[in-house]
Amino acid sequence: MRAFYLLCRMRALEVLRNRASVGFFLGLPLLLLVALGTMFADGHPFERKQVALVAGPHAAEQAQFIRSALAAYPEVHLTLLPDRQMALGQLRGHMLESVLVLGEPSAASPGLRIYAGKRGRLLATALAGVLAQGGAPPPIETIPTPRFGYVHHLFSGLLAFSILTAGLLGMGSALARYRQNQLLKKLALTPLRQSTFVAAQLVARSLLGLLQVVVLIVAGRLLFALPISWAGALWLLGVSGFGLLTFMGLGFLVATLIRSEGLLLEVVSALMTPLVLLSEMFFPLSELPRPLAWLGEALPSTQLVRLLRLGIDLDGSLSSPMLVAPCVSILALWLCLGYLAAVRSFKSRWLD
Amino acid sequence: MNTSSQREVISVDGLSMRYGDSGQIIALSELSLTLTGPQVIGVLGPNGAGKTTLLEILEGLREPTSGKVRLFGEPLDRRRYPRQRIGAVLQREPVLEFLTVRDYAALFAAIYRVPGGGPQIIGRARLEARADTPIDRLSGGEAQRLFIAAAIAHEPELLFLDEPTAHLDPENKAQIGVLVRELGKQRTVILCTHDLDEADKVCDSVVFLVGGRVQASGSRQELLDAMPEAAGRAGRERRLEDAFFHYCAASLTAAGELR
Repeated sequence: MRAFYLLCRMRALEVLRNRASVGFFLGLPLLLLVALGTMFADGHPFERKQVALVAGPHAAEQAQFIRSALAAYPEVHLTLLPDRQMALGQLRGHMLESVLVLGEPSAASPGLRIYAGKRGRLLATALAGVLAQGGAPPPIETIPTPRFGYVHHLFSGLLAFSILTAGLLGMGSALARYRQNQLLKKLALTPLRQSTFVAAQLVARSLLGLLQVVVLIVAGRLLFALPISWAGALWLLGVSGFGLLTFMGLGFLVATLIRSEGLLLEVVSALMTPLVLLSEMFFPLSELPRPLAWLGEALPSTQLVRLLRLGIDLDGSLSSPMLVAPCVSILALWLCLGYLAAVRSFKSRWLD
Repeated sequence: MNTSSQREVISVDGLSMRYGDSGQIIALSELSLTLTGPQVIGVLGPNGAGKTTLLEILEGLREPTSGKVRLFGEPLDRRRYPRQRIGAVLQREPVLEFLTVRDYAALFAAIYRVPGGGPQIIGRARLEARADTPIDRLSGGEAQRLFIAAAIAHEPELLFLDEPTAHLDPENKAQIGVLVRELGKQRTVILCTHDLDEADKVCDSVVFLVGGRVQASGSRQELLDAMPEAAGRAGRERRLEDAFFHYCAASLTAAGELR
């Protein structure tokens, strides 16, 4: 019985005697509760109907009317989009359920037209009723959407998740393990340069990560008919390589700061939660409270998801340089900061 | 610890090493030594004596708190450490279960640019028949032979061995002892151990280290000869163990632990 008690105590002390693990053990669940509770205070994102409004400057008055009319329906989340093609692309990707377009270029008058997929017709009919203004309801046009529509949205998120895991965990846990089993010390006693060792880790892990991406692209193309062209596939591979390097740098940094592999796994799991939830992997940032959305904008995972999404050609409308530049800049900033901090920390602490 | 055919390999002057936020843990205190080679030099002491810390400083892995170290006649500079001139076997070598003997030998042959490559290391370890065995499946003696063969593949002038026989059975311990003696004929071997019996059979010279201080050092025979007649156990030849307890008596309890 005494042995049992001592074993229980030993296990508890393993966590409680380390400030960092106490923080992660007790603080993180609390933080998650507060963050998720705030994030979903108005309900789960998929409870709300995503509707986009596309209106030119000449239709500002009508747009204001639509916004006022729909404000009475909290289950509808209205987003303003600048471009009709972009909105229809998102509708095909099941990121939206309806698109309201004011001032169709082909229409004789700048009237309202509602677009919906097959499964969004009921909502479109309801929207038409609400927006009829006592007159004739606006016309509804049903457009074909792919059979596995949500996969189009989800695919880039899944790719990003694989890259995040391969980078943060693959690099971080391997380095922590090598430190624990004394491989780093052994190699430090040889003429091998630290840079050679780190470069070998980066290259091997990148190749494995890219292999994973290729498998996912082929599976997405064959199983779900994802519209990925050769150029799109090259784009996805390039962005994946960029993302892998960035997250391996962050994994490298975490591994230089945390000695034990066990604790490192806990820390990486904790870091993964905000990186996944606040990154548009599974739902858009527009659904989050503003401070969390700002935080999400600054995360490398968000930029990675956005860049990957550009490689899936929903209708060719998303590949805009205006979208690429900020994403690349933020991701590059994380890459540089991650490696600078990691190399600095690695030089002084890799044998501790 | 110097005979006419010997030359200075390591020289340590006033070496101290302290750990902890305010340096309250003293691992080494004002150590001064000159070690010559080729020969096998045992660094002997109980657990916590500072053996591994001393080794890590000499290997260029740690910066001492104070003191001077000269290696091969040059001041030790960690950034320009002559790695190609040393070899080392750790107290706990990394056992990478995903590597076979062949993979491991190839890796270290490549790192040290050994002309004969991996097969030379495998041959030296006498593991040709086990070349495709994962290294975690080797016996303790086989694994240790492989680690030593990899550490001397580039014919280093100085070899550090930290408790190389700690987990071996008597037969393997004896085999490794013979190997270490052979190695000490061509190069300087620094052997850290708390096994006085092993040191007695293998070492030409010894340094008794207790509580981070050198209690005595010199050739095995010099230390035994300098002991008073009454020291040691009556009725048998005096051994290194007797010398250790004689020179370190003031720092040890009756059980041989640090005071």
